[in-house]
Amino acid sequence: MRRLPMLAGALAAALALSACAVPRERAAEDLRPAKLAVAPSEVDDVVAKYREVRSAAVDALDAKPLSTVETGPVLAVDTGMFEVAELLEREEFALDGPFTVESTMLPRFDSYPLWFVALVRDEETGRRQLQVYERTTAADPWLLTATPELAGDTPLPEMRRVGDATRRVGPDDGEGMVTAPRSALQGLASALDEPEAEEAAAWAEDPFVVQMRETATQNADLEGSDFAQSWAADEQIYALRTADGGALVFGTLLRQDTFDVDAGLRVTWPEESPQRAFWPDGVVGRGSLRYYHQVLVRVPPAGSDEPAATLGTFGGVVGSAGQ
Amino acid sequence: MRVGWWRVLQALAAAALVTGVVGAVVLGPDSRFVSGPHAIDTDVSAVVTQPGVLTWKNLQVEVLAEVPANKPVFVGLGNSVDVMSYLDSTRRLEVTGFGTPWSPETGLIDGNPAAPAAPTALDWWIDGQGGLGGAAIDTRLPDETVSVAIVSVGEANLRGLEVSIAYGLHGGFARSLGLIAAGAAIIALVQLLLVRTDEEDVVYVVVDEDGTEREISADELDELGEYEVVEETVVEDAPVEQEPR
Repeated sequence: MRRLPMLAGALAAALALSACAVPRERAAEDLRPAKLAVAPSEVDDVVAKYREVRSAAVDALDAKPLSTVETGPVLAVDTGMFEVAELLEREEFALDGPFTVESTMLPRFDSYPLWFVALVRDEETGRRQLQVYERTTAADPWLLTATPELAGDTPLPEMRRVGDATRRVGPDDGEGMVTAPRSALQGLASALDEPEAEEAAAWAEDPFVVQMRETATQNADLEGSDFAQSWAADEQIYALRTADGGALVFGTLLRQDTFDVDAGLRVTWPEESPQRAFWPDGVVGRGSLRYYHQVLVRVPPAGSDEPAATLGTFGGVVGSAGQ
Repeated sequence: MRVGWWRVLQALAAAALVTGVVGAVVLGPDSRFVSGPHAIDTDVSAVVTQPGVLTWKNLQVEVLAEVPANKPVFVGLGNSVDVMSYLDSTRRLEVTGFGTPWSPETGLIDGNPAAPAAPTALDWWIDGQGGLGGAAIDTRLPDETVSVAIVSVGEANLRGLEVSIAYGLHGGFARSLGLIAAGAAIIALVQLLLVRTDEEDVVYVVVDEDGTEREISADELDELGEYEVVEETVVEDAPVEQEPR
Protein backbone atom coordinates (compact mmCIF):
# COMPACT_ATOMS: atom_id res chain seq x y z
CA MET A 1 0.00 0.00 0.00
CA ARG A 2 3.04 2.27 0.06
CA ARG A 3 2.67 2.42 -3.67
CA LEU A 4 -0.38 4.68 -3.36
CA PRO A 5 1.46 7.86 -2.32
CA MET A 6 4.18 7.08 -4.85
CA LEU A 7 1.75 6.79 -7.74
CA ALA A 8 -0.29 9.78 -6.55
CA GLY A 9 2.97 11.76 -6.48
CA ALA A 10 3.82 10.65 -10.01
CA LEU A 11 0.41 11.77 -11.23
CA ALA A 12 0.69 15.09 -9.41
CA ALA A 13 4.14 15.65 -10.94
CA ALA A 14 2.80 14.93 -14.43
CA LEU A 15 -0.09 17.33 -13.90
CA ALA A 16 2.21 20.01 -12.46
CA LEU A 17 4.62 19.76 -15.38
CA SER A 18 1.73 20.05 -17.80
CA ALA A 19 0.34 23.02 -15.90
CA CYS A 20 3.63 24.98 -16.02
CA ALA A 21 3.07 28.23 -17.91
CA VAL A 22 -0.47 27.19 -18.72
CA PRO A 23 -2.28 30.13 -20.34
CA ARG A 24 -4.70 31.85 -18.02
CA GLU A 25 -6.64 35.11 -17.95
CA ARG A 26 -5.21 37.98 -15.98
CA ALA A 27 -7.31 39.53 -13.22
CA ALA A 28 -9.41 42.52 -14.30
CA GLU A 29 -7.63 44.86 -11.87
CA ASP A 30 -4.29 43.95 -13.49
CA LEU A 31 -5.40 44.97 -16.99
CA ARG A 32 -4.80 48.69 -16.49
CA PRO A 33 -1.83 49.94 -18.54
CA ALA A 34 1.27 50.34 -16.41
CA LYS A 35 5.00 50.03 -16.81
CA LEU A 36 8.24 50.76 -15.06
CA ALA A 37 9.82 53.85 -16.67
CA VAL A 38 12.68 51.74 -17.96
CA ALA A 39 13.93 48.21 -17.37
CA PRO A 40 16.75 48.29 -14.77
CA SER A 41 19.03 46.54 -17.24
CA GLU A 42 18.59 49.40 -19.76
CA VAL A 43 19.63 52.26 -17.45
CA ASP A 44 23.34 51.78 -18.13
CA ASP A 45 22.68 51.95 -21.88
CA VAL A 46 20.77 55.23 -21.58
CA VAL A 47 23.50 56.83 -19.45
CA ALA A 48 26.27 55.40 -21.66
CA LYS A 49 24.67 56.86 -24.78
CA TYR A 50 24.42 60.24 -23.08
CA ARG A 51 28.07 60.10 -22.06
CA GLU A 52 29.14 59.09 -25.55
CA VAL A 53 27.37 62.04 -27.20
CA ARG A 54 28.56 64.44 -24.50
CA SER A 55 32.13 63.27 -24.97
CA ALA A 56 31.87 63.81 -28.75
CA ALA A 57 30.47 67.31 -28.19
CA VAL A 58 33.30 68.13 -25.78
CA ASP A 59 35.91 66.84 -28.23
CA ALA A 60 34.46 69.00 -31.01
CA LEU A 61 33.79 71.92 -28.64
CA ASP A 62 30.35 72.00 -30.24
CA ALA A 63 27.14 71.89 -28.21
CA LYS A 64 24.91 70.95 -31.16
CA PRO A 65 25.09 67.15 -30.69
CA LEU A 66 23.87 67.61 -27.12
CA SER A 67 20.38 68.41 -28.39
CA THR A 68 19.98 64.70 -29.19
CA VAL A 69 20.54 63.69 -25.55
CA GLU A 70 19.64 66.78 -23.48
CA THR A 71 16.73 69.16 -23.30
CA GLY A 72 15.37 72.09 -21.32
CA PRO A 73 17.52 73.79 -18.70
CA VAL A 74 20.31 71.18 -18.92
CA LEU A 75 20.77 71.84 -22.62
CA ALA A 76 20.56 75.59 -22.06
CA VAL A 77 23.19 75.50 -19.30
CA ASP A 78 25.52 73.23 -21.26
CA THR A 79 25.12 75.34 -24.40
CA GLY A 80 25.93 78.42 -22.34
CA MET A 81 28.92 76.61 -20.85
CA PHE A 82 30.23 75.76 -24.33
CA GLU A 83 29.68 79.34 -25.43
CA VAL A 84 31.56 80.72 -22.43
CA ALA A 85 34.35 78.18 -22.93
CA GLU A 86 34.66 79.09 -26.57
CA LEU A 87 34.64 82.83 -25.89
CA LEU A 88 37.19 82.49 -23.09
CA GLU A 89 39.15 79.82 -24.98
CA ARG A 90 38.82 77.43 -22.04
CA GLU A 91 38.58 73.68 -22.06
CA GLU A 92 37.15 72.64 -18.73
CA PHE A 93 34.60 69.95 -19.23
CA ALA A 94 34.21 67.20 -16.71
CA LEU A 95 31.74 64.34 -16.49
CA ASP A 96 32.21 62.97 -19.98
CA GLY A 97 34.44 59.98 -19.29
CA PRO A 98 34.04 56.61 -17.52
CA PHE A 99 31.16 56.48 -15.08
CA THR A 100 29.34 54.20 -12.67
CA VAL A 101 25.58 54.08 -12.16
CA GLU A 102 25.48 53.70 -8.38
CA SER A 103 21.73 53.42 -7.96
CA THR A 104 18.47 54.05 -9.76
CA MET A 105 15.00 55.35 -8.90
CA LEU A 106 12.47 53.97 -11.37
CA PRO A 107 8.87 55.17 -11.02
CA ARG A 108 5.90 53.35 -12.56
CA PHE A 109 3.64 55.13 -15.09
CA ASP A 110 0.32 54.53 -16.83
CA SER A 111 1.09 57.00 -19.63
CA TYR A 112 3.87 59.11 -21.13
CA PRO A 113 5.95 61.14 -20.41
CA LEU A 114 8.15 58.66 -18.54
CA TRP A 115 11.13 59.61 -16.42
CA PHE A 116 13.62 58.00 -14.10
CA VAL A 117 16.57 58.99 -11.94
CA ALA A 118 20.10 57.55 -11.97
CA LEU A 119 22.82 58.35 -9.44
CA VAL A 120 25.95 58.56 -11.61
CA ARG A 121 29.50 58.81 -10.28
CA ASP A 122 32.25 60.12 -12.54
CA GLU A 123 35.16 57.73 -12.10
CA GLU A 124 37.88 60.31 -12.75
CA THR A 125 36.65 63.05 -10.45
CA GLY A 126 34.41 61.11 -8.05
CA ARG A 127 31.71 63.74 -8.55
CA ARG A 128 28.17 62.43 -8.24
CA GLN A 129 25.16 63.63 -10.18
CA LEU A 130 21.55 62.64 -9.74
CA GLN A 131 20.39 62.60 -13.34
CA VAL A 132 16.77 62.72 -14.48
CA TYR A 133 16.11 61.23 -17.92
CA GLU A 134 12.73 61.81 -19.56
CA ARG A 135 11.01 60.31 -22.58
CA THR A 136 8.16 62.55 -23.77
CA THR A 137 6.49 60.02 -26.06
CA ALA A 138 7.21 56.44 -27.09
CA ALA A 139 8.61 57.77 -30.39
CA ASP A 140 11.11 60.07 -28.65
CA PRO A 141 14.53 59.23 -27.23
CA TRP A 142 15.56 59.48 -23.58
CA LEU A 143 16.77 63.01 -22.87
CA LEU A 144 18.59 64.34 -19.83
CA THR A 145 16.37 66.97 -18.21
CA ALA A 146 17.98 67.53 -14.81
CA THR A 147 21.41 66.78 -13.40
CA PRO A 148 22.04 68.35 -9.98
CA GLU A 149 25.44 67.51 -8.58
CA LEU A 150 25.51 66.29 -5.01
CA ALA A 151 27.63 68.33 -2.66
CA GLY A 152 30.57 66.24 -1.42
CA ASP A 153 29.54 63.00 0.24
CA THR A 154 25.97 64.13 0.82
CA PRO A 155 24.01 60.96 1.64
CA LEU A 156 20.73 60.37 -0.15
CA PRO A 157 17.67 59.42 1.88
CA GLU A 158 16.12 55.97 1.60
CA MET A 159 13.40 55.98 -1.06
CA ARG A 160 9.92 54.53 -0.69
CA ARG A 161 9.46 51.63 -3.07
CA VAL A 162 6.48 49.57 -4.12
CA GLY A 163 7.87 46.36 -5.55
CA ASP A 164 10.61 47.42 -7.92
CA ALA A 165 9.17 50.91 -8.46
CA THR A 166 9.97 54.12 -6.59
CA ARG A 167 6.90 56.10 -5.53
CA ARG A 168 6.29 59.41 -7.30
CA VAL A 169 4.87 62.55 -5.71
CA GLY A 170 2.74 65.05 -7.62
CA PRO A 171 4.17 68.61 -7.76
CA ASP A 172 1.23 69.92 -5.75
CA ASP A 173 0.84 66.93 -3.45
CA GLY A 174 1.92 68.00 0.02
CA GLU A 175 0.27 65.13 1.89
CA GLY A 176 2.42 63.94 4.77
CA MET A 177 5.10 66.57 4.12
CA VAL A 178 5.91 69.99 5.50
CA THR A 179 5.10 71.43 2.08
CA ALA A 180 4.30 70.35 -1.49
CA PRO A 181 7.21 70.07 -3.96
CA ARG A 182 6.12 73.12 -5.95
CA SER A 183 5.68 75.19 -2.79
CA ALA A 184 9.14 74.16 -1.60
CA LEU A 185 10.74 75.38 -4.84
CA GLN A 186 8.71 78.58 -4.82
CA GLY A 187 9.74 79.12 -1.21
CA LEU A 188 13.40 78.70 -2.17
CA ALA A 189 13.04 81.12 -5.09
CA SER A 190 11.27 83.63 -2.83
CA ALA A 191 13.99 83.32 -0.18
CA LEU A 192 16.58 84.22 -2.84
CA ASP A 193 14.40 86.89 -4.44
CA GLU A 194 13.49 88.61 -1.19
CA PRO A 195 16.13 87.79 1.43
CA GLU A 196 14.53 90.14 3.92
CA ALA A 197 11.12 88.45 3.79
CA GLU A 198 10.00 86.55 6.90
CA GLU A 199 9.62 83.27 5.00
CA ALA A 200 13.26 83.53 3.84
CA ALA A 201 14.51 82.82 7.36
CA ALA A 202 13.85 79.07 6.92
CA TRP A 203 16.45 78.96 4.13
CA ALA A 204 19.02 81.27 5.77
CA GLU A 205 21.49 78.47 6.56
CA ASP A 206 21.13 76.58 3.29
CA PRO A 207 24.56 76.31 1.55
CA PHE A 208 23.15 77.10 -1.91
CA VAL A 209 21.28 80.15 -0.61
CA VAL A 210 24.35 81.34 1.27
CA GLN A 211 26.50 80.98 -1.86
CA MET A 212 24.01 82.81 -4.08
CA ARG A 213 23.64 85.63 -1.57
CA GLU A 214 27.40 86.05 -1.38
CA THR A 215 27.59 86.30 -5.17
CA ALA A 216 24.77 88.84 -5.20
CA THR A 217 26.51 90.88 -2.52
CA GLN A 218 29.76 90.93 -4.55
CA ASN A 219 27.87 92.10 -7.64
CA ALA A 220 26.03 94.74 -5.64
CA ASP A 221 29.36 96.06 -4.33
CA LEU A 222 30.59 96.73 -7.86
CA GLU A 223 31.33 100.42 -8.15
CA GLY A 224 29.72 102.48 -10.88
CA SER A 225 26.63 100.30 -11.36
CA ASP A 226 23.37 99.36 -9.71
CA PHE A 227 22.78 95.65 -9.38
CA ALA A 228 19.41 93.89 -9.24
CA GLN A 229 18.67 90.20 -9.06
CA SER A 230 15.40 88.28 -9.51
CA TRP A 231 14.50 84.62 -8.98
CA ALA A 232 11.59 82.42 -10.04
CA ALA A 233 10.79 78.71 -10.03
CA ASP A 234 10.29 76.83 -13.30
CA GLU A 235 7.12 74.79 -13.87
CA GLN A 236 8.92 71.49 -14.59
CA ILE A 237 9.17 69.49 -11.37
CA TYR A 238 10.05 65.86 -10.62
CA ALA A 239 9.44 64.49 -7.15
CA LEU A 240 9.91 61.10 -5.50
CA ARG A 241 8.75 59.92 -2.08
CA THR A 242 11.35 59.14 0.53
CA ALA A 243 10.92 56.25 2.97
CA ASP A 244 10.24 58.64 5.87
CA GLY A 245 7.29 60.23 4.04
CA GLY A 246 9.16 63.27 2.73
CA ALA A 247 10.26 63.84 -0.86
CA LEU A 248 13.25 64.44 -3.12
CA VAL A 249 12.34 67.28 -5.46
CA PHE A 250 14.08 68.17 -8.73
CA GLY A 251 13.40 71.68 -10.00
CA THR A 252 14.91 74.62 -11.81
CA LEU A 253 15.26 78.20 -10.63
CA LEU A 254 15.52 81.05 -13.12
CA ARG A 255 17.83 83.87 -12.08
CA GLN A 256 18.40 87.20 -13.75
CA ASP A 257 21.23 89.58 -12.83
CA THR A 258 20.90 93.10 -14.14
CA PHE A 259 23.61 95.78 -14.10
CA ASP A 260 22.66 99.43 -14.62
CA VAL A 261 25.94 101.22 -15.28
CA ASP A 262 26.18 104.86 -14.38
CA ALA A 263 26.09 107.28 -17.30
CA GLY A 264 29.48 107.87 -18.88
CA LEU A 265 30.99 104.72 -17.36
CA ARG A 266 31.94 101.34 -18.78
CA VAL A 267 32.14 98.35 -16.44
CA THR A 268 34.38 95.40 -17.27
CA TRP A 269 34.72 92.04 -15.47
CA PRO A 270 37.66 89.74 -14.64
CA GLU A 271 39.16 87.54 -17.34
CA GLU A 272 37.60 84.22 -16.27
CA SER A 273 34.11 85.45 -15.45
CA PRO A 274 31.01 84.60 -17.56
CA GLN A 275 30.33 88.32 -17.80
CA ARG A 276 33.68 88.76 -19.57
CA ALA A 277 32.71 86.08 -22.07
CA PHE A 278 29.45 87.75 -22.99
CA TRP A 279 30.67 91.33 -22.62
CA PRO A 280 34.36 91.32 -23.61
CA ASP A 281 34.30 95.12 -23.97
CA GLY A 282 32.33 95.67 -20.78
CA VAL A 283 28.85 97.10 -20.33
CA VAL A 284 27.64 100.59 -21.06
CA GLY A 285 24.12 101.41 -19.92
CA ARG A 286 22.28 98.21 -18.99
CA GLY A 287 23.30 94.58 -19.23
CA SER A 288 21.66 91.46 -17.89
CA LEU A 289 22.60 87.81 -17.62
CA ARG A 290 20.11 84.94 -17.28
CA TYR A 291 20.97 81.80 -15.36
CA TYR A 292 19.35 78.43 -14.76
CA HIS A 293 20.04 76.75 -11.43
CA GLN A 294 18.82 73.19 -11.13
CA VAL A 295 18.32 72.17 -7.51
CA LEU A 296 17.71 68.94 -5.66
CA VAL A 297 15.62 69.76 -2.61
CA ARG A 298 14.93 67.46 0.31
CA VAL A 299 11.44 68.09 1.67
CA PRO A 300 11.03 66.59 5.17
CA PRO A 301 7.93 64.71 6.29
CA ALA A 302 5.23 66.52 8.26
CA GLY A 303 6.14 67.04 11.88
CA SER A 304 9.87 67.04 11.20
CA ASP A 305 12.04 69.60 12.95
CA GLU A 306 14.35 69.84 9.94
CA PRO A 307 13.72 72.51 7.30
CA ALA A 308 13.69 71.79 3.58
CA ALA A 309 17.23 71.90 2.19
CA THR A 310 19.14 71.72 -1.08
CA LEU A 311 21.23 68.56 -1.49
CA GLY A 312 22.62 69.35 -4.94
CA THR A 313 22.77 71.98 -7.66
CA PHE A 314 23.74 72.46 -11.29
CA GLY A 315 23.60 75.71 -13.19
CA GLY A 316 25.14 78.39 -15.29
CA VAL A 317 24.61 81.26 -17.69
CA VAL A 318 22.08 80.63 -20.43
CA GLY A 319 21.83 84.03 -22.09
CA SER A 320 22.63 87.70 -22.01
CA ALA A 321 21.24 91.04 -23.08
CA GLY A 322 22.84 94.46 -23.42
CA GLN A 323 26.37 95.55 -24.18
CA MET B 1 -11.68 1.88 2.11
CA ARG B 2 -8.19 1.36 0.73
CA VAL B 3 -9.57 0.05 -2.52
CA GLY B 4 -11.66 3.23 -2.65
CA TRP B 5 -8.55 5.43 -2.59
CA TRP B 6 -6.99 3.37 -5.36
CA ARG B 7 -10.12 3.96 -7.42
CA VAL B 8 -9.93 7.71 -6.78
CA LEU B 9 -6.33 7.71 -7.98
CA GLN B 10 -7.37 5.75 -11.03
CA ALA B 11 -10.15 8.27 -11.77
CA LEU B 12 -7.69 11.16 -11.52
CA ALA B 13 -5.32 9.37 -13.88
CA ALA B 14 -8.22 8.82 -16.29
CA ALA B 15 -9.03 12.54 -16.15
CA ALA B 16 -5.39 13.36 -16.90
CA LEU B 17 -5.44 10.94 -19.81
CA VAL B 18 -8.62 12.47 -21.27
CA THR B 19 -7.16 15.99 -20.86
CA GLY B 20 -4.04 14.87 -22.67
CA VAL B 21 -6.04 13.36 -25.52
CA VAL B 22 -8.13 16.54 -25.91
CA GLY B 23 -5.00 18.71 -25.79
CA ALA B 24 -3.19 16.60 -28.36
CA VAL B 25 -6.19 16.58 -30.73
CA VAL B 26 -6.90 20.35 -30.45
CA LEU B 27 -3.29 21.57 -30.59
CA GLY B 28 -1.85 19.03 -33.00
CA PRO B 29 1.83 18.25 -33.41
CA ASP B 30 2.69 21.98 -33.86
CA SER B 31 1.00 22.82 -30.52
CA ARG B 32 -1.21 25.53 -31.95
CA PHE B 33 -4.65 26.36 -33.28
CA VAL B 34 -4.79 28.54 -36.43
CA SER B 35 -7.50 31.02 -37.47
CA GLY B 36 -7.40 33.01 -40.69
CA PRO B 37 -6.48 34.68 -42.92
CA HIS B 38 -9.15 37.29 -42.14
CA ALA B 39 -9.52 40.35 -44.41
CA ILE B 40 -9.64 43.75 -42.67
CA ASP B 41 -11.23 46.44 -44.80
CA THR B 42 -9.29 49.59 -43.91
CA ASP B 43 -7.06 52.26 -45.40
CA VAL B 44 -5.44 53.40 -42.15
CA SER B 45 -1.75 53.00 -41.44
CA ALA B 46 -2.11 51.23 -38.10
CA VAL B 47 -4.30 48.61 -36.46
CA VAL B 48 -3.88 48.24 -32.70
CA THR B 49 -5.53 46.40 -29.83
CA GLN B 50 -6.69 48.65 -26.99
CA PRO B 51 -5.23 48.08 -23.51
CA GLY B 52 -7.10 45.30 -21.74
CA VAL B 53 -8.27 43.56 -24.91
CA LEU B 54 -5.56 40.93 -24.64
CA THR B 55 -6.42 39.45 -21.25
CA TRP B 56 -4.39 36.25 -21.34
CA LYS B 57 -0.87 35.50 -20.22
CA ASN B 58 1.45 32.63 -21.15
CA LEU B 59 -0.57 32.09 -24.32
CA GLN B 60 1.61 31.46 -27.34
CA VAL B 61 0.31 33.70 -30.13
CA GLU B 62 1.42 34.00 -33.72
CA VAL B 63 0.19 37.02 -35.68
CA LEU B 64 0.73 37.14 -39.42
CA ALA B 65 -0.12 40.35 -41.31
CA GLU B 66 -0.15 40.24 -45.09
CA VAL B 67 -0.55 43.21 -47.44
CA PRO B 68 -0.63 43.22 -51.25
CA ALA B 69 1.98 44.56 -53.64
CA ASN B 70 4.91 43.89 -51.34
CA LYS B 71 4.06 46.92 -49.23
CA PRO B 72 6.26 47.28 -46.13
CA VAL B 73 4.47 46.30 -42.95
CA PHE B 74 5.39 45.78 -39.30
CA VAL B 75 3.82 43.59 -36.62
CA GLY B 76 4.74 44.19 -32.99
CA LEU B 77 3.76 43.37 -29.43
CA GLY B 78 4.52 45.97 -26.78
CA ASN B 79 3.46 47.24 -23.39
CA SER B 80 0.20 49.16 -23.95
CA VAL B 81 1.70 52.30 -22.39
CA ASP B 82 4.33 52.37 -25.15
CA VAL B 83 2.14 51.26 -28.05
CA MET B 84 -0.73 53.67 -27.32
CA SER B 85 1.68 56.59 -26.87
CA TYR B 86 3.40 55.73 -30.14
CA LEU B 87 0.14 55.63 -32.14
CA ASP B 88 -1.70 58.31 -30.14
CA SER B 89 -1.60 60.88 -32.95
CA THR B 90 -2.02 58.39 -35.80
CA ARG B 91 -5.22 57.61 -37.73
CA ARG B 92 -5.83 54.04 -36.71
CA LEU B 93 -8.23 51.18 -36.33
CA GLU B 94 -8.48 50.23 -32.68
CA VAL B 95 -9.60 46.76 -31.71
CA THR B 96 -11.85 47.46 -28.73
CA GLY B 97 -12.92 43.90 -28.05
CA PHE B 98 -11.87 40.47 -29.14
CA GLY B 99 -13.16 36.94 -28.79
CA THR B 100 -11.16 33.87 -29.72
CA PRO B 101 -10.62 32.49 -32.23
CA TRP B 102 -11.64 35.55 -34.33
CA SER B 103 -14.40 38.02 -33.46
CA PRO B 104 -12.95 41.53 -33.25
CA GLU B 105 -14.84 44.74 -32.44
CA THR B 106 -13.18 47.83 -33.90
CA GLY B 107 -13.40 51.62 -33.87
CA LEU B 108 -11.78 54.18 -36.18
CA ILE B 109 -9.71 56.90 -34.47
CA ASP B 110 -8.82 59.93 -36.56
CA GLY B 111 -5.33 61.36 -36.67
CA ASN B 112 -2.24 61.84 -38.80
CA PRO B 113 -2.01 59.60 -41.86
CA ALA B 114 1.30 58.05 -40.79
CA ALA B 115 2.92 56.97 -37.53
CA PRO B 116 5.36 59.53 -36.04
CA ALA B 117 8.40 57.27 -36.44
CA ALA B 118 9.34 54.03 -38.14
CA PRO B 119 8.28 51.17 -35.86
CA THR B 120 11.53 49.40 -36.59
CA ALA B 121 13.46 52.30 -35.01
CA LEU B 122 11.86 51.88 -31.57
CA ASP B 123 13.52 49.96 -28.76
CA TRP B 124 10.60 49.01 -26.53
CA TRP B 125 8.84 46.33 -28.59
CA ILE B 126 8.63 43.09 -26.66
CA ASP B 127 8.55 41.34 -30.02
CA GLY B 128 8.37 42.89 -33.47
CA GLN B 129 9.08 42.07 -37.07
CA GLY B 130 8.95 44.03 -40.31
CA GLY B 131 8.74 42.76 -43.86
CA LEU B 132 7.70 43.42 -47.44
CA GLY B 133 4.20 42.11 -48.21
CA GLY B 134 3.96 40.47 -44.82
CA ALA B 135 5.38 40.17 -41.34
CA ALA B 136 4.79 37.84 -38.42
CA ILE B 137 5.58 37.49 -34.75
CA ASP B 138 5.47 34.31 -32.69
CA THR B 139 5.45 35.28 -29.03
CA ARG B 140 4.13 34.35 -25.63
CA LEU B 141 1.82 36.91 -24.01
CA PRO B 142 3.59 38.24 -20.89
CA ASP B 143 2.13 39.02 -17.47
CA GLU B 144 1.63 42.71 -18.27
CA THR B 145 -0.91 44.76 -20.20
CA VAL B 146 0.13 44.58 -23.83
CA SER B 147 -1.13 45.60 -27.25
CA VAL B 148 -0.52 44.16 -30.69
CA ALA B 149 0.04 46.69 -33.47
CA ILE B 150 0.18 46.27 -37.22
CA VAL B 151 1.79 49.36 -38.71
CA SER B 152 2.48 50.30 -42.29
CA VAL B 153 5.99 51.57 -42.90
CA GLY B 154 6.72 54.73 -44.86
CA GLU B 155 4.06 56.16 -47.18
CA ALA B 156 2.08 52.92 -47.56
CA ASN B 157 -1.21 52.14 -45.83
CA LEU B 158 -2.80 48.88 -44.78
CA ARG B 159 -5.36 48.58 -47.61
CA GLY B 160 -5.83 44.90 -48.46
CA LEU B 161 -4.64 43.76 -45.03
CA GLU B 162 -5.22 40.13 -44.10
CA VAL B 163 -4.50 38.81 -40.64
CA SER B 164 -3.99 35.26 -39.46
CA ILE B 165 -3.73 34.30 -35.82
CA ALA B 166 -2.46 31.10 -34.29
CA TYR B 167 -2.97 30.30 -30.62
CA GLY B 168 -0.93 27.73 -28.88
CA LEU B 169 0.76 26.44 -25.80
CA HIS B 170 4.52 26.20 -25.93
CA GLY B 171 5.30 22.45 -25.94
CA GLY B 172 1.57 21.77 -25.62
CA PHE B 173 1.55 18.64 -27.78
CA ALA B 174 4.45 17.10 -25.88
CA ARG B 175 2.78 17.92 -22.57
CA SER B 176 -0.45 16.32 -23.80
CA LEU B 177 1.43 13.17 -24.75
CA GLY B 178 3.04 13.22 -21.33
CA LEU B 179 -0.36 13.38 -19.66
CA ILE B 180 -1.63 10.51 -21.80
CA ALA B 181 1.38 8.38 -20.94
CA ALA B 182 1.30 9.17 -17.21
CA GLY B 183 -2.46 8.68 -16.99
CA ALA B 184 -2.42 5.38 -18.87
CA ALA B 185 0.52 4.07 -16.86
CA ILE B 186 -1.09 4.85 -13.54
CA ILE B 187 -4.44 3.35 -14.57
CA ALA B 188 -2.71 0.15 -15.61
CA LEU B 189 -0.56 -0.09 -12.49
CA VAL B 190 -3.49 0.48 -10.16
CA GLN B 191 -5.51 -2.15 -11.99
CA LEU B 192 -2.70 -4.67 -11.63
CA LEU B 193 -2.41 -3.97 -7.92
CA LEU B 194 -6.14 -4.37 -7.37
CA VAL B 195 -6.21 -7.72 -9.25
CA ARG B 196 -3.34 -8.98 -7.11
CA THR B 197 -5.20 -7.95 -3.96
CA ASP B 198 -8.26 -9.98 -5.06
CA GLU B 199 -6.07 -13.07 -5.44
CA GLU B 200 -4.71 -12.99 -1.90
CA ASP B 201 -4.32 -16.39 -0.13
CA VAL B 202 -6.63 -17.08 2.85
CA VAL B 203 -5.18 -19.07 5.71
CA TYR B 204 -7.51 -20.56 8.34
CA VAL B 205 -6.25 -21.24 11.85
CA VAL B 206 -8.43 -23.15 14.30
CA VAL B 207 -8.00 -23.02 18.10
CA ASP B 208 -8.67 -26.33 19.80
CA GLU B 209 -10.34 -26.68 23.17
CA ASP B 210 -6.93 -27.11 24.85
CA GLY B 211 -5.81 -23.80 23.38
CA THR B 212 -3.45 -25.13 20.68
CA GLU B 213 -3.59 -23.50 17.24
CA ARG B 214 -3.32 -25.44 13.98
CA GLU B 215 -3.72 -24.48 10.35
CA ILE B 216 -6.57 -26.09 8.40
CA SER B 217 -7.73 -26.00 4.80
CA ALA B 218 -10.96 -24.45 3.53
CA ASP B 219 -12.43 -27.98 3.15
CA GLU B 220 -11.56 -28.86 6.74
CA LEU B 221 -13.22 -25.60 7.79
CA ASP B 222 -16.42 -26.67 6.02
CA GLU B 223 -16.28 -30.04 7.77
CA LEU B 224 -16.16 -28.34 11.17
CA GLY B 225 -19.72 -27.14 10.68
CA GLU B 226 -20.48 -24.46 13.26
CA TYR B 227 -17.57 -22.34 14.49
CA GLU B 228 -16.96 -18.93 16.02
CA VAL B 229 -14.67 -16.41 14.28
CA VAL B 230 -12.41 -15.18 17.04
CA GLU B 231 -10.13 -12.93 14.99
CA GLU B 232 -9.73 -11.90 11.33
CA THR B 233 -6.38 -10.51 10.34
CA VAL B 234 -5.35 -9.08 6.96
CA VAL B 235 -1.61 -9.39 6.51
CA GLU B 236 -0.28 -6.69 4.15
CA ASP B 237 2.74 -7.07 1.94
CA ALA B 238 5.61 -6.43 4.28
CA PRO B 239 9.30 -6.30 3.58
CA VAL B 240 11.09 -9.49 4.42
CA GLU B 241 13.39 -8.85 7.31
CA GLN B 242 16.64 -10.76 7.30
CA GLU B 243 18.50 -11.79 10.37
CA PRO B 244 21.81 -10.00 10.67
CA ARG B 245 24.74 -12.35 10.17
